[in-house]
Amino acid sequence: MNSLRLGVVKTLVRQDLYYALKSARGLLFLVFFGVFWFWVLWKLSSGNAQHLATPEAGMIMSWFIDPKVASALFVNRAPTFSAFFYLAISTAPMFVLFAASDQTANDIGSKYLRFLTPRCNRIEIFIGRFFGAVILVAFAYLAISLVAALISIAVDKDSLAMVIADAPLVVISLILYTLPFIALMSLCSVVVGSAGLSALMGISIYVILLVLITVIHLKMPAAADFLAYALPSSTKGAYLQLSWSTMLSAAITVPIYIVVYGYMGWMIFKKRDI
Amino acid sequence: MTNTIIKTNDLAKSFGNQWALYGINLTIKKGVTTGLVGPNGAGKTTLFSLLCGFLKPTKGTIKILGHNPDHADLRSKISILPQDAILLKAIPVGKQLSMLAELQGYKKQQAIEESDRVLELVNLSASRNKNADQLSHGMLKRIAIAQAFIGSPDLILLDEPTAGLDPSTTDGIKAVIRSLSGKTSIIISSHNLEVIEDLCQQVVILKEGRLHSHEKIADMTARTKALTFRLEKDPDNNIKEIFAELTMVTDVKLGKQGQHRLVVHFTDETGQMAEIEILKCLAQAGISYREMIRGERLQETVADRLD
Repeated sequence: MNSLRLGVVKTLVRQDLYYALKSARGLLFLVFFGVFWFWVLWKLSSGNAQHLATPEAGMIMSWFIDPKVASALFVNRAPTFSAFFYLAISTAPMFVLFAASDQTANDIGSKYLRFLTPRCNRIEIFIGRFFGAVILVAFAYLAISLVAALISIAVDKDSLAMVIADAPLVVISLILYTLPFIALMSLCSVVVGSAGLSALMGISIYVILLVLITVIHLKMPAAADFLAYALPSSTKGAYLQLSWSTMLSAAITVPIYIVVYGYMGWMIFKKRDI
Repeated sequence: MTNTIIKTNDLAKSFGNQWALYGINLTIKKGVTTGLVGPNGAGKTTLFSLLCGFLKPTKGTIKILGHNPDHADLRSKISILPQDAILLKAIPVGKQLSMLAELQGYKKQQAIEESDRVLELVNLSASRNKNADQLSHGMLKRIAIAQAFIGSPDLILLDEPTAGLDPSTTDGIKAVIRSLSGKTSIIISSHNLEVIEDLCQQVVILKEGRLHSHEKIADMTARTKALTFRLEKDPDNNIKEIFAELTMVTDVKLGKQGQHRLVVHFTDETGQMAEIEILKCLAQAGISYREMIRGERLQETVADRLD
């Protein structure tokens, strides 16, 4: 019924990225993202992150974050690059929920889909928009990671080898971590008719689930741990270990999130009136 | 090989508890230009959107070229002018048309050439590099029409193609549609019955969500010999009496208040003499008219049927 032509998907992805770089919402994300990271990296370039590698700082950090994470990130690693990674993972939901909010939402609201559906199958549009968002987010994180790596090499002493070794792990971890969020937004964006509402819906779902799980954790920690897998951020701890083995174990869950969120989104999109 | 391009069977669509369309059984032949008409709320837009696959039927089936409207085999065989879809604001309209052409299977350079061709058709070549938000409503309408003419589709569905256009642009668009007539099947949904009468061979009339009739326009407007007058003012109800002496006059119909319309039907046995006699009667009664046409216009026929 809805056959998938890869050539059409490729064209849709190319056009989606072209539009993202021309449209207000795409530029808004890139400007917001760029300004935030310019400010953070400018602060990190002063070498402040090196204090995080001291035993005293490690002890203080372990009050706020998992001691295993603190040790994995700041013992025998380039602290500036590690600090960047920790901040990138922590702020990813905010940026990705925003960047991936308009996959099909504005197309539905403006009825632009009515120009597309005589030419493309709905599955091609749905998948094309998802990959468009994935590539936009991936390039944004790749670019900012490269800048952070260069700053770290310049600021942290004898860090060249460590940064080169960690850079692929950091980039892949960041991209993998963002995929479930993008899939969640592909579900949200088929329900509403604007990118703003879609972002609001994604943030609301994320925050409500987070609060629910926190409350349930007080009474039933085991149930809360299980429910936490409904959140796209459930594997955050594994990525923060910054090791290939934990990253790969977290990566196994990524297709599950994409399939579950994506399938729910597709079920709505294929049947909905446009 | 079947000669049918559209076939609906017991088609129905509801929004909540409200049936917008019910029990539509329709067959449209290939190569015919068909008008879709009806008053507000008759279900025109709903039927049009169902045919386009924008809406999903609540009940019944639609077959276009033997397939469901969202079937993969129909891609690029159907072109649609949606009434209320909005073009992307941040991209030049020429680029948008070439993007749509690429999705229809054109290579990049061919897509640019095709977008130039359709822009020329709607007389907007000069606006190729302008963004949608720099164009007027009428120009955007013409761009939307241009995208419906990309490629060589088997079926073109046009929703209000001349709404919001000035008379000269309307004539241009009508000429383009007329040039495609016979080569491809065209469905035109419009409130403008002059456009429908001018361009279509058949008309589908909807009333209160149901199919009222589906006929050839020629049959509807030329079933009887008639003269239609637009008078200076609304005729008196006793105007029929002035034709009492004329045995060839079979019926006299008056328009609604404010229409200033008078339609005189006659038998064609007496040929042109009947028309002269009718005109004489009007002159003798001191009734002047602004316009007279032979036959009955679609507008009047449809209005009568929907009363």
